[in-house]
Amino acid sequence: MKVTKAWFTQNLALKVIALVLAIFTWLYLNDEILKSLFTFPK
Amino acid sequence: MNVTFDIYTTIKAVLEILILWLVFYRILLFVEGTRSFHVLKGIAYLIIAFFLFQVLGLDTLNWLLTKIFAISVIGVLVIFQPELRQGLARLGQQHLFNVGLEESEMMAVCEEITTAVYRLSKNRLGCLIAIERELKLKTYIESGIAIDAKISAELLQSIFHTSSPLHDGGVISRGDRIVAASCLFPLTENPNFSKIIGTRHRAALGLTEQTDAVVVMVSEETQEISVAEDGRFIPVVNRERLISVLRDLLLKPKKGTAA
Repeated sequence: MKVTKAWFTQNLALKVIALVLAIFTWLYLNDEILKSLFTFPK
Repeated sequence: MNVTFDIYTTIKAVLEILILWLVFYRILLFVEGTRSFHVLKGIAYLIIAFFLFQVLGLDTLNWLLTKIFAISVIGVLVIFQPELRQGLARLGQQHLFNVGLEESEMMAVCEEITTAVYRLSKNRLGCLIAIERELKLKTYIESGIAIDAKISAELLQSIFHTSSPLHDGGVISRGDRIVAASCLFPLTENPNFSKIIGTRHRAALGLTEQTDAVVVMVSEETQEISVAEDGRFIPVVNRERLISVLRDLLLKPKKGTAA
């Protein structure tokens, strides 16, 4: 229980950043929404 | 048919995002605490600025950053060359989803700790050694003096010698390394223990109550060797028993109590 509870709070900032990066990367590779909003360097 | 396809597409998307999350998290964990982390932060700020310039319509700055990013791939490879090499070497050395020690390496660690505590006990020197498991002991590590040295009986003996400035407090080990010494551990508030045992015992119990760490300690007064786990002491009568207890707790953590 101690370990399970701690998993959610340990390195929380890194987990959030990693999740944001993962979602952003997936959207960039799979969804046209991001591509229509921004112009990415080639 | 359409519904099945949609569910499949959603599951595929979630799975891809989860895998990407895991990969990015492992990379960030690997880089955290190194000089590359600050470089990565700098790059992240540039990327945020890039998107901000586009939204705000700042074309000149946007053009400048576009040109910088175009040549940045080679720059990133040069800057992160030591970390890339280290990361690939580590990937090749261990199992993909297991960053812990091999069984033989962990047994070697148990042997070193056992040798150290028996020598310390023989010389009437007290010690407190916490072995980190799944829960990181970062708060307690920060209360002590950083060491980051490979664990050995001789080093532990040196740390706990009374003339050493590091002998007060506890040592924290992670894997096969001593991470810090002179660390402060929380004292147990358990009313069954707090009045009849010394501070060192209370510290051992206190840390194991709040984390999943295993604590090996030697009492200066009685020369007795004890192992604490999950707020209780496990009896240790001889060297073989100590190695057996440590092996059970460190190699098979899910099974909990050592027999």
